[in-house]
Amino acid sequence: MNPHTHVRRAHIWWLFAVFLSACGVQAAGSTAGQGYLTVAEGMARPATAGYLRAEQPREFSFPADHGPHPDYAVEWWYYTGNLRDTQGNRYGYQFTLFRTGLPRQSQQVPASKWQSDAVYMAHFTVTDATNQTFIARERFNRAGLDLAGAQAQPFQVWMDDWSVASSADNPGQMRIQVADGDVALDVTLDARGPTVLQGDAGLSQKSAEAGNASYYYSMPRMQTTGSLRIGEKTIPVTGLSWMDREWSTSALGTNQVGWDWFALHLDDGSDIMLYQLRNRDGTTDPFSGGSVRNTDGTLTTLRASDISWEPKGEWLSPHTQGRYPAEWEARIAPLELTLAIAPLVADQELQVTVRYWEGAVDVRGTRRGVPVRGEGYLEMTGYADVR
Amino acid sequence: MIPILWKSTLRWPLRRPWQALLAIIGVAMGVAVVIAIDIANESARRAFLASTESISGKATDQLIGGPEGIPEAFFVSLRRDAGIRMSAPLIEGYAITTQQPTRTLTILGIDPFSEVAFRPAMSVAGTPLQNGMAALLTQPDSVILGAKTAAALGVVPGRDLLVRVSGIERPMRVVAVLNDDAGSSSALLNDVVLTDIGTAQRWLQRDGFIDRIDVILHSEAERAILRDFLPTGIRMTTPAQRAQSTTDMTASFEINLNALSLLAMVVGMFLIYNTMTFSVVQRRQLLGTLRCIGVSQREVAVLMLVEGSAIAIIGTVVGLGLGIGLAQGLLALVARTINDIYFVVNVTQIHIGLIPLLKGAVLGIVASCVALAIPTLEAARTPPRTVLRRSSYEEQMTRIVPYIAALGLLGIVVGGVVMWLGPSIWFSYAGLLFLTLGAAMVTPWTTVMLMHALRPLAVRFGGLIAGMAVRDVITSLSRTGVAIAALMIAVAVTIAVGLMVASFRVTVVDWLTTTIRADVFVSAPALNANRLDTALPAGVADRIADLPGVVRIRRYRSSMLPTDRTPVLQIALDVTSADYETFLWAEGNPDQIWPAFANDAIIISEPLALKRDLHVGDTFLLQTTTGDRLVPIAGIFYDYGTELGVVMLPLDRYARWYADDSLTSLGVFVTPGTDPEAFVEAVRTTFPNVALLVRSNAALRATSVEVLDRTFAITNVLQLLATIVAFVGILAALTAMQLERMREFGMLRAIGLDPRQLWQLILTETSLMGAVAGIVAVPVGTAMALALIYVINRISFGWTLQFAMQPEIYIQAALTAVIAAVLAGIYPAWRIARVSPAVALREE
Repeated sequence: MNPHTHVRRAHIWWLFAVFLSACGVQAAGSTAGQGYLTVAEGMARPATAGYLRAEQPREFSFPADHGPHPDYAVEWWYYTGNLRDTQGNRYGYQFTLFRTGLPRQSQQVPASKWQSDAVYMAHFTVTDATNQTFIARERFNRAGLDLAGAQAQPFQVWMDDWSVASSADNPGQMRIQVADGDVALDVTLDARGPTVLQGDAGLSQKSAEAGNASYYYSMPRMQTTGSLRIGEKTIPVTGLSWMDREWSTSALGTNQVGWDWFALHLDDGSDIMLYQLRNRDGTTDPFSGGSVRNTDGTLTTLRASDISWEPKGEWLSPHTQGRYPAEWEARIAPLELTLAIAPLVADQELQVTVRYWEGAVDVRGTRRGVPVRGEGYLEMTGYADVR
Repeated sequence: MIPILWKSTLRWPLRRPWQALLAIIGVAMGVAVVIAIDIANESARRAFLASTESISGKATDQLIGGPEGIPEAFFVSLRRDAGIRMSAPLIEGYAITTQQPTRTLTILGIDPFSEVAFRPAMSVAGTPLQNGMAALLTQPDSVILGAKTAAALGVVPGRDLLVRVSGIERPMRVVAVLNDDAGSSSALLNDVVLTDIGTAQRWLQRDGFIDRIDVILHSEAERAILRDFLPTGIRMTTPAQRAQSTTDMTASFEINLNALSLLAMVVGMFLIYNTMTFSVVQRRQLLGTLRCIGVSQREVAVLMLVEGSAIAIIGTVVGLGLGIGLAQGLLALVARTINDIYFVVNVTQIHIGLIPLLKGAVLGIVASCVALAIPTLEAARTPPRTVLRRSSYEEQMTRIVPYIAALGLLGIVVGGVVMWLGPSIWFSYAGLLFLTLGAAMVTPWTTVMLMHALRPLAVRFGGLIAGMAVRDVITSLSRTGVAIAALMIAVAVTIAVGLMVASFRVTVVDWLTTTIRADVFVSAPALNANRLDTALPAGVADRIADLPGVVRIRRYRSSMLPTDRTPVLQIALDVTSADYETFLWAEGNPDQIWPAFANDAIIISEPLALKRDLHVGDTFLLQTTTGDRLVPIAGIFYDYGTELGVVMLPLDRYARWYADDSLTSLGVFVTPGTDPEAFVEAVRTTFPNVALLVRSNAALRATSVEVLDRTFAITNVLQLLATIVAFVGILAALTAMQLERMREFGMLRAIGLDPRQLWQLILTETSLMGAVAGIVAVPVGTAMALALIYVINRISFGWTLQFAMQPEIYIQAALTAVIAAVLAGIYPAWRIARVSPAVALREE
C-alpha cells in the first residue's frame, strides 16, 4: 500500500481546516471579508500544537478504533456507495464526517458547554442516475453540547440528527441515517471481508519526515440495504459501500494542486483504489499509486509507475467554471487491466464550502482480454479552486 | 380692478412684515412641535423594529422560554431528536463602551454554524467559516464588528475594545470586521457585537441557558410538528409578534407625547386666529372702501383667504424644517425615557417619514384655515358702511362677548362630560381640548368683568393713566381678548403640567418611602434602570445573610413575563408579616389578601388592574415554565414603578412554577446603629470580583426619583415650547395692537402726555392683560391638572396620584404671564415714545 493513499481525503480536510486554523491563529491580523485563504496559506500554519502525531505502528482494536481519537488533530469517517432499486435504477451516495481539533493552546476554562475542542463538518450527497440529478448538503457543528460528535461503544458518529451507528451487539454492522428536507438515506452496511489496514499495518507514512503520517484503515466492500428518499418518494435500495477511516496530525506539502481518486468495486469481487496526485507543474506526482484487494483477499500495492491515467474529454462546471475531465481511462500494467471510468451524472460537483467533484461512476474494461464491469466513486479535486 | 385688488393685498403684509413674520412663526412653531414629536417617536420605534427585524433575520418563528430562557440542552434535543436543522440559538445582551463617549452595544451571542440560513450578513460569502467566524470559537473574548461600528469606535482587528458587561469591565478582542456596505446587513451590524454563544453565556452569566431559538419553518404542518415537540415552558412566537408586544409597551407614552404636541398646535392656532383677526380689524377701513367701490363679498373673502393661506403655507413649510431639527433634539430625550422605562433601543438618527410630514402639513394648513375662517367671514359679511367705522367692530365685539362666554361655558361642560364618560384616552384628550377652548372663549368676558371691577381701583390708586389703560383693554377687546386667551392657555398648560409633575413626584416619593424599607439593596447590574432582571450569582444571598449586622434579608426574583398582550413585570418575593405595611392597597382587604397570597393567589399592581379591567377575585393567566396557570388575584396594590403592570407571587411558589431558584435582588435589614453606607462598603469588599449593584435605601430612592425626573424632562421641554409659542403670540398681538395706535398715542402726546406717561400707559395696559391671563389661568390650569391627574393619567398609565397643591407653581405661572406681557409692551412703548407727536399724527 502506498503511504500516500490518505492524502485524497486530506485534501478536503485541508480546505476545511485551513479556515479554522488560519482563522484561529491569524484572523486577528488578517482582513476578514476577503473570502477564503489559499491552500498554501493554510498549510503553512496547521493547528497541530498540543496534538499527538502518528509516528509508529499501533495495535488496532475494534470497535474501539471506530470511535474518535481526540488526541489527533484530524479524523474522518468516509462512506460512499452505489445502490440500485428493484427496477434496476442506479443511485449513488456519499456521507462523510470530518472532525477537526481546534488549536489547543487557546482552550479556555470551559465555563460554557458551547466551548468546544473540535468542530465537525458533514457532507451528504445523493446521485440519481435515471433522472440525472445530484443533491449535495453540508453541515457544520461544534462538538460542544454533543451537537456533533463520535463515540466508540456503541459506535456512533453524528451531526445533529445525521448519524452512522452500530448496535452494541453487532459492531460489524453500521447504519447510516441522514435526512435533509427533501432527501434522506437510511441504509445498513455489513462488512464483507476483513478490515484492511493500509500502509504499514495501518500507519500510512506520508513523507520521509517522522510523524507526517496517519493511521488508516478501510472496509472496502460493505453490503448495503435500506431505503433512499428523494422528494416524496421512498425507494428500497441495495448495493455496495466503501468506508475509509483515518486520523492524523500532519502538515501537508504544497507541491500538489489536486487529486483524482478512484474507489471501484469490480463485479469479479475485487476492489480497486487508485489515486493520482497532480503537481503544480502539471505532472503526476511520483507518490501517486493505489491498491487492489484481489478476489482471494490478497492485497496488491500499486506504484505510480504501475498506473497510467488518461483524462477523456472535458466537463465545464457551470457553477465554478472549473474544467474537469469528463471521463477517465486507467491502465494498470501489472494486472493487464484497462478501465474506462464514466460518471453516472456529469455534474456531481458539490456546491459546498469547499468545491470539489465526487460522484458515482460506471466502470467497463478488460482484464487480460476478458471484459469486466464495475461501479464505484470518483473524486476530483483542485479543478475548481485553482485561481 | 383685480390686479389693483391683489396689489392692495400684497402691500399690506409688505408694509407690516413683522406682523406677517410673527404669524408665520406661530404657525411654524405649532407645526414644528407636532412633527418633531411624531418623528422622534417614529424614529425610536423604527430603530427598535429595524434592529429586531435584522436580528431576527429570515426566522419565521421563534422559540422562547421562561424567565431564565431556554435550557441549552433543549436546543440539542431540537437538533438531534426533532431534526430541526433550520434553528439558530441566540443570546442577546448589552455592553457599554468605557471610552468616551459611552455607547451601548448589543451583544449578539451566536452559533456561527447555525447562522447562514438566518443572517447571511454574518457570513458574507455564504459560509460560516469565513470572515473570522471560526476565530470566535478559538479565541477567548473574541468579537466581530461591522465596519461602520468599528470605525465609529476606532478599533481595528487585533485590537481590544474596552467595555462593561454586567457591571464588569472587560476587553473584547476584535478578531474581524465585517463589511457592512450591503444595505440589508447594515442595520444588523449597527452597534452590534457578534460573539460566540459560549462567550456570551460567560459574559452575561447565562450558564446553561440561551435566550431564544430562531427557526425557519416552511409550512403550517411543520409548525404543528414542532409545536407538539415543545416541552412545557417553551413557547413558539413570531419575530413580528415579539417586536409588536415590545413596541406596544410605549403606546401610552407616545400618545401622551402626541397629545402634548397637539397642545402646542392649539396655542399656535390661537396665534393664527389672533393675527388674522387683527389683520382684518386693521384693514377694516381699506376693506370697507373696497366694498364701497364695488368689490364683492366673495372677492374680499378670497383676498383674505389668499393672504391667510400664504402665511399658513409659508409657516407650515418653515415649521416642517424646524420640526426636523427639533426632532433631532427631542430624539435623545424620547430614547432615554424608553431606555429607562421600557426597553433598550439604540437610536441616534432620526427617520423622516412621509406620514409625519404630511400630518404636520395638513394640520398646519387646516388649523390655519379654521383660524382664518372666522375673521374672513366677518370681513366679507360686514356691510361696507359699518366696516368703515372701526368702533362698530368693537361695539359688536362687546355685544357678543357674553354669548361667546356662554358658548365657552357649554364647551367646558361638554369637555368635562366627554372626559369623564369617554371610553378611551382620545375622548379624554378631546374633552380636555373642549375644556381648554371653552375656557379660552370665556376669557374675553372675564376680562371685561375684571376690568370693570378694577377700574375704580385703578383710577383711585393709579390715576388717570391707569384708568385709561383699564378702559383701553376693554375697548380694544377684539384684539386684546384673543391675545389674553392665548396667553391664558399657555399659562394654564404650564400650571397643569407643573401640578401634574409635582403630584407625580409627591406620590412616588411617598410610595418609595412606604415600599422601600430595607436598609441596603443588592442587585446584579442592569442596563435598564427599571428592570432588575439579571440574576445574582449563586450564593450571594447566603453570604450576605452571614455578614455581621444583618437582621434579615428579603429576596426578590424579577423577570419580564410575556402575556397575551404586552409583557408585565413579575416579581417573586419573600413576604413576612413585617413586610405587610410596605403595601398600599387599591383593592382588597389585607386580612384576606395575605392568607390567599401565601396559599395560591397572586397580587397585581393598579396599572395592570386598570388596563385589563381586573379585580380581586378575577384570575390572571401566568405562562409558567411548568405550564399555563390561571391564578386568582388576591389584591391590587398601588405601584408607581412601572406602568407595564406588576404581578407578585411568593418566591417559593415561583421557584416551583418556573423551576428557577435564582434571585435578582436582595433587601437587607441591618441592626439599628449600623451605618448603611458602611454596610454597603462591607458588601462590596466581601465580593471584590463579583459585579454587584449595592445601594443604600437613600441612594436607591434618589436613583428612583432621578429616573422619574428624567422621564419628565421631555414633558418640561414640550411645556416650554408651548410657552414660547404663546409668548411669540402675545408679543405679536400686543406689539401690533400698540403700533396700530400710533396715531392715538400721537394725539395723547400732542395733548400733553409725556413719554414717561406713555410708557406707563402701554406697560400698564399690557401688564393688566398679563395679569388677567394669569388670574384666569389659575382655575383653568387647576382644572386641566385635575383632568390630567385623575382622568388622563389613570386611563393611559393606570396610576392614582395624590393631588399636590403647590403655591409656587401658581406664582411662577402668574409671573410668567405678567413678565411676558410686560416684555411685549416694551418694544411698542420704546418705539412710540421715540416718535415725535407730529410724525405719529401723520400715521395712516
